[in-house]
Amino acid sequence: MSGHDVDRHHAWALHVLTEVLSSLSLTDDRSVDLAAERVAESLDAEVVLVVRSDTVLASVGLDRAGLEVLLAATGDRPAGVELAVGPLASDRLELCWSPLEADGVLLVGRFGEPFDLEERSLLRSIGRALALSLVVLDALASERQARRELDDALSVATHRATHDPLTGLPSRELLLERLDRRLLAAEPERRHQVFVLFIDVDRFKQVNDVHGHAIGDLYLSAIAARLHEFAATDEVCARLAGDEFVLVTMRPSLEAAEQVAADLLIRLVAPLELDGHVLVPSVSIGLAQGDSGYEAESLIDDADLAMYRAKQEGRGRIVVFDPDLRRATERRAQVEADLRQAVRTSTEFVPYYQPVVDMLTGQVVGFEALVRWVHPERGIVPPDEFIPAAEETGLVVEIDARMLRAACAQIAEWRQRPEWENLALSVNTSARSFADPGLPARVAEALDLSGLPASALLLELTETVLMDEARSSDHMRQLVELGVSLAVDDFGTGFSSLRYLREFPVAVLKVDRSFVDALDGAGGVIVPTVVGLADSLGLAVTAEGVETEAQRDRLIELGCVYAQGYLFGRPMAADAVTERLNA
Amino acid sequence: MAGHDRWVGAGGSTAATVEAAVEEALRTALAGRDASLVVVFASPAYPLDQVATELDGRLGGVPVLGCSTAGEVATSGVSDSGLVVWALGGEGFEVATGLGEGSEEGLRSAAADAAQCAHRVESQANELLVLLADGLCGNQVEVVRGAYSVVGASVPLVGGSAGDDLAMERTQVLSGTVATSEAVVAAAISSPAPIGIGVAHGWREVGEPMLVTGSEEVEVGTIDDRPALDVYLDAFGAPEAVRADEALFVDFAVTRPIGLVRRGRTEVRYVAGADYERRTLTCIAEVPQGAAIHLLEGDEATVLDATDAACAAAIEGLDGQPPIGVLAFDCVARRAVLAEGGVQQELDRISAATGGVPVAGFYTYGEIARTRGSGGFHNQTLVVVAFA
Repeated sequence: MSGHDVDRHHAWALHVLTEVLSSLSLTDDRSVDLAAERVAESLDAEVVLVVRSDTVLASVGLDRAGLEVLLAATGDRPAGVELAVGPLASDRLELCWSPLEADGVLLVGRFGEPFDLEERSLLRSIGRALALSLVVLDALASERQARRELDDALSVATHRATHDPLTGLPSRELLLERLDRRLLAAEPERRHQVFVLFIDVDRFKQVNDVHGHAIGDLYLSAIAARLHEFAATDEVCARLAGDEFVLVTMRPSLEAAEQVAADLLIRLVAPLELDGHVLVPSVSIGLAQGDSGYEAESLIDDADLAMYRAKQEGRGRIVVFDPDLRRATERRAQVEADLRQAVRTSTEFVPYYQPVVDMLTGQVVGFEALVRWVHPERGIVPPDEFIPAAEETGLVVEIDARMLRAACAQIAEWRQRPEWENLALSVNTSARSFADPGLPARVAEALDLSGLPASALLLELTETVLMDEARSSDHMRQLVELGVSLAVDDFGTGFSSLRYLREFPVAVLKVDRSFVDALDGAGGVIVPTVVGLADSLGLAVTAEGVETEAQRDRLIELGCVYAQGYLFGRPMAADAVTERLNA
Repeated sequence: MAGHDRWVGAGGSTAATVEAAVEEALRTALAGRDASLVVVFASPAYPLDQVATELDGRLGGVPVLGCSTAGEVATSGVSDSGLVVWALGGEGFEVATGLGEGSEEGLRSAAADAAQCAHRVESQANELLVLLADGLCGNQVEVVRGAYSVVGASVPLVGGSAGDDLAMERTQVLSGTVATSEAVVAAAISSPAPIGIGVAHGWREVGEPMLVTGSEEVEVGTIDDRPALDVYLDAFGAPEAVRADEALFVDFAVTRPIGLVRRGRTEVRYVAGADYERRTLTCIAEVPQGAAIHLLEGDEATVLDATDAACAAAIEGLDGQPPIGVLAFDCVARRAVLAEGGVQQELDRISAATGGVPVAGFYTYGEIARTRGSGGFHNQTLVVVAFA
């Protein structure tokens, strides 16, 4: 040091102690290293070693060889060792030892200059402080470890509670939370909109039925894995329930979101090989866009509606939500509620009767019973507004049964009149009713109660119902045994297979009104064909929707005998028919 | 050691272009000899990446080390906006260089990486590790700690923190063809002849000692439980202009360092800046909480006396052998104390003390000299390295 160096002796050792104590931090992992470096620098020492339980906690200025020499010396604790560390350190390494708890030591080494009393005292103080700090650091480390373990356990529990155990995807609850967060974050300066893709696996039930539940689970897991792989890190995917999944994405436009849906569809429908079975998935996707003020639940409902429409449109496709879908659904829900109420009150459904005439004689030969819903507030509700809902809910079975009973009773009553003693009754039978195993019993009961002979009853079915249901239906045989006949409604619009005409007790073919309307065009070809076919099979033909005399004359000309339509009479309540009869 | 052909050369230039400056400085320094190591100190006026490219083009595979400066030192007289080349060669000198890249968090691991070159140089009776560090990156004490953790007590450390003419914006170091910041470069030199190292500063205490009551590494928050900046400005009787304008602080503080009270000596800390809102001081190296400090000041006479002392200590380290060249790391703050002509006086004194051998170096933001103990980072200090 030069003569200009400040060489007044302040209580430097005390300050060094303060510095070293200041360096002992309970939060910095390098705390012990830092303290060791401070000790070395402040004492002009080349070497510092902190050892506890045969573990080196910190070392300064020691290579492996030097470390081994000093560790070996900890038993005897000599005042100095010969340690060759290079050209500078030719002197003996003077050592100062300070105990750390029972089995530890703070060792400081300096080349060529022994430690004086003040330094030894300083190192003792530092050693004691370091020992106490190490105890606290150990306690903190244990506590941190315990907290980490607790956090891990909590996070596992939270994961279990918020994720689907089969696929590992977030569950509905977590989806709603994350979707809500995105919807909130999207306002107000959003550049990207929130989109929800509702994905439903088509015909999953069949996979379960055909391959078993184990394959079914693998199938869903594989689709979930593809969805998860497809999702970007800022997108959310979830399994809602069963075969329903959701993907939430943020996109600048509807077109961009549609592209995501299209890409996802392609990704999901690639063939899967599961446990030796090759399956080709199909999914229907509904896409809905989150608007301001939207809640997660409503957005998912929108996407669900769109998905439902995709199913209706033939599955394996993407449908974008449209507010009309919601309105239609709301209307259907209202209709369903009203229908249930109406079925309970039992007075709102009444049969209307439309006469069937023999065009050659002008005589009424029968009636077709048509259901009308007399709503207490809305008045008469057209069939096309409630029949689909009635079909869907199954209420149609009860409605059909009531119509059958009422109409059988009415026709039986009218058959009391001499001029109507051979009056026949046609009753529409829905697919659900026809599929219902109770149908033969209900028909038998209606006939029994009314006294109407079975031969006077025609059950009207569409071709599709016949094709889908009749062949496998056990009760077709029972109906045949009762002596009931079938009329094929809207003949010519469906399969027009000749086979079922022979297989089942079909007595009448009803020509659809569209062919009657078009008698001058396509109908001009089809009607004579149907009549010819019926003749050859010994069946009767009834033309529907005849409204003009010209149509009537043309039909007669073509050999068609029976008809119904506004020309001969609209559907009327039973009272109106009786009234007209008595007039 | 008569008859040896080891040599040290130095040359400088203030030519307008990098190409011309490198050409001129190299010509003087090498004088047609093949160098084992070339060290370049360049003013920020010369883009260091261009300097690297230029040197590489002229030297091929010779190891090159360098940095940006806050002024250059050369017996050729270059002191400002110049470029200085120092080189050594001849039989006996062995050299290996290294580069370590750090991050804005600090240079400890960078220094450790750079110091690995010490393991690659052929071991001889005398060894030295020269370190040049980005002077505006983290706590510079960590440069010494990082290097010491690799070479331990076996090799003395010398060097300096790169400067940028007190702009305090960006400093750079150079190794081979790479010029970069947030890095440390090193050269390990071994020689059969002694290498002497002298260290001195030349500051005196102002007022009574004080306690650092709040600090975190290089930032001093409170002194004696008062805002550090206020204590500092009051103690030095800072003029109103400095109290009102943060921009004037750097120049004011450059000649008013802090001294840490150490065992039988004072360790100087350069005050590089202040935060006028938080009332804190920022130093170039750590000022530990709990440390006793003195505020320091100096004048031309004490600075020049320290120059003599450092040179004498370096020559003494040569065990009677004559010097063949000198490398100097001089703090920019010492230069600020010298009046006009003082820089030349300092050079003259170095030259006279070392017998007129080639001298080169630079004005630094911090100096490194570890010859004993494990610490060795200094401020406002002159480090003289003499080669025999």
